[in-house]
Amino acid sequence: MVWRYALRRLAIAVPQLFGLLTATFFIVHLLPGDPARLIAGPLASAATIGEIRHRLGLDKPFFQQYLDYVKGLFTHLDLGPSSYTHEAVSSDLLQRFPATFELITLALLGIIVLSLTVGVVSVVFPTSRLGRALRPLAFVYSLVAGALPDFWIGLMLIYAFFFVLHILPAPAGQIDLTLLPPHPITGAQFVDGLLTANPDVIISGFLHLVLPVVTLAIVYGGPIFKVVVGSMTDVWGAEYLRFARACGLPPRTLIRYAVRSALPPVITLSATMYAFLLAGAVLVETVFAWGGVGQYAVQSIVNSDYFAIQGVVLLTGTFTLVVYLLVDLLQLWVDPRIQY
Amino acid sequence: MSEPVLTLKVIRTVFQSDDGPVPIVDNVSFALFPGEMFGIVGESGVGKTTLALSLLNLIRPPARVTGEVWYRGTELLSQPDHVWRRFLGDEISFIPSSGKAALNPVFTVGQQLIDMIRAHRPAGDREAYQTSVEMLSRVGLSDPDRRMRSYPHELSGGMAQRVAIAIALVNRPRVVIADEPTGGLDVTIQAQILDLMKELNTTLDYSTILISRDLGIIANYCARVGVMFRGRVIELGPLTQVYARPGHPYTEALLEAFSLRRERVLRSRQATSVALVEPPPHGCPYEPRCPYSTSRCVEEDPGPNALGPDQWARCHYAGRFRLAPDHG
Amino acid sequence: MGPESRLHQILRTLGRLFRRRPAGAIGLCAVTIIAIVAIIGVWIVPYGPTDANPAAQLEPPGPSHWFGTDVSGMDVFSRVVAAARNDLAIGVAATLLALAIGTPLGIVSGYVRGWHSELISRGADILQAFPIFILAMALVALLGQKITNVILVIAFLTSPIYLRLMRGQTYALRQTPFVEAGIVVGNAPRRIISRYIFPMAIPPALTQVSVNVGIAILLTAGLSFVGAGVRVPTPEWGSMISIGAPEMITGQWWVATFPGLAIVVTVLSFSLLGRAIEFLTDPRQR
Repeated sequence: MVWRYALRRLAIAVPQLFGLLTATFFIVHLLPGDPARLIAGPLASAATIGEIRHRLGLDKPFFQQYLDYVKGLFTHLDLGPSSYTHEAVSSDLLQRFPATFELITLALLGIIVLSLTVGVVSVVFPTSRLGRALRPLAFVYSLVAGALPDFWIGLMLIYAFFFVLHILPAPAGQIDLTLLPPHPITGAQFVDGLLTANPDVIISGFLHLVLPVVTLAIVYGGPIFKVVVGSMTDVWGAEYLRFARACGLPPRTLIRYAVRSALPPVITLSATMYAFLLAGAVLVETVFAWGGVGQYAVQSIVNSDYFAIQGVVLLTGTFTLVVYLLVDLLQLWVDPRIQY
Repeated sequence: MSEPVLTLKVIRTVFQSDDGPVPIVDNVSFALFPGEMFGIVGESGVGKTTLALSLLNLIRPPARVTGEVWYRGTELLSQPDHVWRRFLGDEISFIPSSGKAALNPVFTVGQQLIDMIRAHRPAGDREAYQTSVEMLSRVGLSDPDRRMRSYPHELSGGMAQRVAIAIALVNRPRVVIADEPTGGLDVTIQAQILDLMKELNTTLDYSTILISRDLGIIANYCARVGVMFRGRVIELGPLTQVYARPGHPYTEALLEAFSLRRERVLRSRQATSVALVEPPPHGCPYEPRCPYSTSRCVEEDPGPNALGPDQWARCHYAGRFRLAPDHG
Repeated sequence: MGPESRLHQILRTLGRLFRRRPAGAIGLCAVTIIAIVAIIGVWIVPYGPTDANPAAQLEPPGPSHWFGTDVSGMDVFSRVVAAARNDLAIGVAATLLALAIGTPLGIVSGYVRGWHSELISRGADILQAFPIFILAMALVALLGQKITNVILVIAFLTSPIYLRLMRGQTYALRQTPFVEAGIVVGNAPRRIISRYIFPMAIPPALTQVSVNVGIAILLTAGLSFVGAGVRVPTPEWGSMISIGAPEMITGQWWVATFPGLAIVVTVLSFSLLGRAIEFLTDPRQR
């Protein structure tokens, strides 16, 4: 039964992906503005513009362009050339995506771990010193979390920890500028440092990761935090927890029972937040000069890099779709009550 | 009479309300003997469930339980939580009113049974599994191996209740507190569950405190009964005696409501709802509702008056209230 | 003794709001203050918001410049106050426009069965698959960096929220016996929608509006920060933060901090206002 649902879900994903491709194409192509002119620049002659237009295939009929686009995508994953980096957009994205992925994944993990910890301590041990200290903090955070601009928080943290306290490095990339970058295996320099056992890169990479990950976690942690605490509160007072206590089950089993049954709504929300984090990465990467897809997105827009913009939009939309799919499947495993 | 296995002395459970502390359980004392099924009967809100929770260390601050609970030489109420955890689930168990609500929805039946076993003694995987399967079979579930892998939402109400009973009994407790174990189930299933409980009570040799609102259930399964009103036990004795000759007017009113007495002798029909009228400050709490009350009842709170070697009732005219002169 | 005057009624409701939802009341006050500042602020600030004074560049907060000055010597305080007008205007306009787009589409999609409503709904789903900010950047860049485009883009991208909401509400309300009775009696669909469905479906959307103004402001600030929104030197909190960003590393914290605080306070106030609206539009509290 599970498999049937999974297959059905995967089957739906295909037309969804197609819809996404088409939507991206339409959005980017139906807007006013001449991409060839944007690429050529304000001083170009009409001939140059025409040449560029021909080279990029922008003078072909609309539907032909669409077919070329789809064909290029499926045959060699071709997203067109970047007018700024002069590389293929697909290789640009491939190079930069791991760094972004590293950032948002660590941020999400951080949010979940921290929220669960705070949730368990404040609900299960409300009278402990830590529990009592956390309550007002949790209240304030719940209130304020949605109102924080990520780029601003990043800047504030930089000021506090780099300028004032001198304990974290300047926001200039993934590792220290004076260090030789590690051999690129994944593209995320900290991970590459781990994989090539390069201690300088590992330490530098770690230190450089702290602030951007913390920024993302603080700014985007609100919804998950609220759901975790709310879910834990509900579950801790539930009838089955009371029965478990009447059965003399030890505290760690009770906590295990509570956390496991509080998890399902958190998982669904994490999917949504993962997608949000990808959007949030744009600004944070810009502030910290991270060199990932986010910064590339900004760069391509500022430089009117037509195909790059299209590529970024497609990549982020696809990522979201894949995440939602995976989480739907994960939900089946985590919550046995789901009917299919 | 053999030694009691559980003795309650002056149990008082006080909750904090907007108007000050309120005793939900007020001065309850009784003894539970080995192998018996002792019934506690009373209407909703009278404190039966709170009494059960008080005996299971489930009353949390700011509510407090005072008094003594003696179990095999140990006084339990003064013990810290970790000592309670040794007794609960192992020697003193709880059967809840709804099996479905009591089971964790994201774990299988088997996982919860095994957790119960392992919480109280070390057991290998095979041993724990075997014991669980046997218990499920004992409580009348067919295909117990399949049940081990089932989730609570896949079970019917009756099946879930059997699972809850299995969990409660798997560690062979000596005392089982069953709080309305058949609420919400169909009548025929109710009978099956209660028959099962009676049978296990005998074969596994433990004592049960059966709490219910239904005098019929108590009548069919219990040898002794305690009647609760407003947080107190107002009558206690062997079931047949109490039902045949109630020592307290409230017992009489209850029996009449359940049509378990052939004669209807109450001169006025008064609602026996518990909460509405405040009783006189020093008098009998049942006085406002009692058709036989006298001025003595208004002024003096009756203590337990014996009606026989093993029956008593908290009434100045225990057993003979119909003969009391009434003053308006 | 005549019926209670309107003013009296309003005061009484406000009193109840203060007692039952203090957070909402704070939000209401805060938003009112911010709105006043936004409207009249420009005329009462000590310096012109775009008056550059290179001699006074990067001065820390002090008696003559309460929030200090930025790299061009412009007074940060005056600019923060002046930006309130722009940010608020964009936020409110975008949100109201999103409401205007999403609500009718949502209602129609929830009311009428058939492939049109499915299509609209699927379209909204696909739109929501893209992280809003990236799409917003792309669209503003492609359309051109003008305030009107920022408003349009944000409105377009946030309209699915209302579409979804109204669709759900309409669909649920349509099944109620109360509405079915209206249909059976023979009322035209337009009448049913306007008399029965709309008044009951709209309150949750109004609560959402308040929160969305905050979201729109955050989006605007973000867009301007990366240079894909409002152009410098128009005072706008996000672009002010981008001007102040390099200064954070060299220690002149005031240039970027104060605009950021303004954003936090404003967005928070609108979020709290949402609670007030929720309370006030709840028919049960009458």
